[in-house]
Amino acid sequence: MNTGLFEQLQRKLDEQEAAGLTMTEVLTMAAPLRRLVNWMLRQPPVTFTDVMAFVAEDEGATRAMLKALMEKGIVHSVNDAEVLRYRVQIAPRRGRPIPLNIWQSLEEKIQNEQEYLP
Amino acid sequence: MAKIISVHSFRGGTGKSNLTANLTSLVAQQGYRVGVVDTDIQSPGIHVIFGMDEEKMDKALNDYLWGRCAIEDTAYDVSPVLKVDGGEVAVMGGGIYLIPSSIKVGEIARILREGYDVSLLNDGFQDLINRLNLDYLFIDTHPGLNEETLLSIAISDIFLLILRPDQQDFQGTAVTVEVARKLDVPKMLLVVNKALPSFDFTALKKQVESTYQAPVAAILPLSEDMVRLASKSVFSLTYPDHPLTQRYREIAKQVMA
Repeated sequence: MNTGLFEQLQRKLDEQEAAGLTMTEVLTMAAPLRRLVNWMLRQPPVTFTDVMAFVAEDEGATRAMLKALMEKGIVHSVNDAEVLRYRVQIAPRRGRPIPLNIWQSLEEKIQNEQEYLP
Repeated sequence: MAKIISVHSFRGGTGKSNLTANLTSLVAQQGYRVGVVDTDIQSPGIHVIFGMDEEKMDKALNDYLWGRCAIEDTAYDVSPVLKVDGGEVAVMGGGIYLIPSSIKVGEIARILREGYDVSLLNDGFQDLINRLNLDYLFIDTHPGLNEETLLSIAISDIFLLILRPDQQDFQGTAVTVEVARKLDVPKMLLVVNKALPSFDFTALKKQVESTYQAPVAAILPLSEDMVRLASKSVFSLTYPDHPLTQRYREIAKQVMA
């Protein structure tokens, strides 16, 4: 793993809100962190040992990194059969601020038109 | 270990859903259990190719995303309704489980208005694989780049990127290839669709591969028969001996490799 990982990670995390990670943010991450997130997305929840093996860092550094990721809501932990596992927390997709009555009008219009269809 | 295959294009109208439906059917005919999810929530359509009647669509992906049911409850086994050459029921060695998106205006509107928990998609894909014991899961995506599309690309074992021989498609594909590389997709295959039969396919393949530095799984000719079929059924089942079906088989082979 790249030695500059923690500086890059910290910089990124400082800008991040603790509301999960958007996929768009993954694209702008520094390569080592992006690789870790991509890898975690493809796995079922992973153990601390799995993460340590993937990032090829020592225990202390890996623990500090996971702690930072969890504090910012990018990673969260799950208890699976008494083993602590970690997974990426994806941010919910935000709705678009369109007035409700636009959709209601559209639906009513379509329903009315369907009544007149042959 | 099940494989997840995302079928995507930067622009609409490239033939994503038709490619997905054909690959799904060809892979299932080899005896595999195949799932196909329509994640094009804003403009769903693949259920039409599988002959699903919207009136009988009791549950859809939207119901799972709103927490109304488990994702496997939205899966329809469409293999019995598939016909070969317009008559005999296609013998599927495996099975096809379609998870459609709702075609109801209110449901589409709700997704656009309120958004949803994207991570549910990832969990749902894994649950489908486990609970339906799938060998392959195809994801038919919404064109362009958005959160769901990026997630689908990120979790794919194989990323099938479809484009037409068109300057707008070429440019958009370049963006998508770059994104897929950033998301560490293990295997990316390009498919060129709707190429005029008069084109030199060998030269076109070479040009596309050289431009994107990625393999082209097949060049599919613009087919009058496909246009005439108008998404009424799965092309490769309706025309099993058609040259276009042979091209679909070549892609399916690379997906299963």
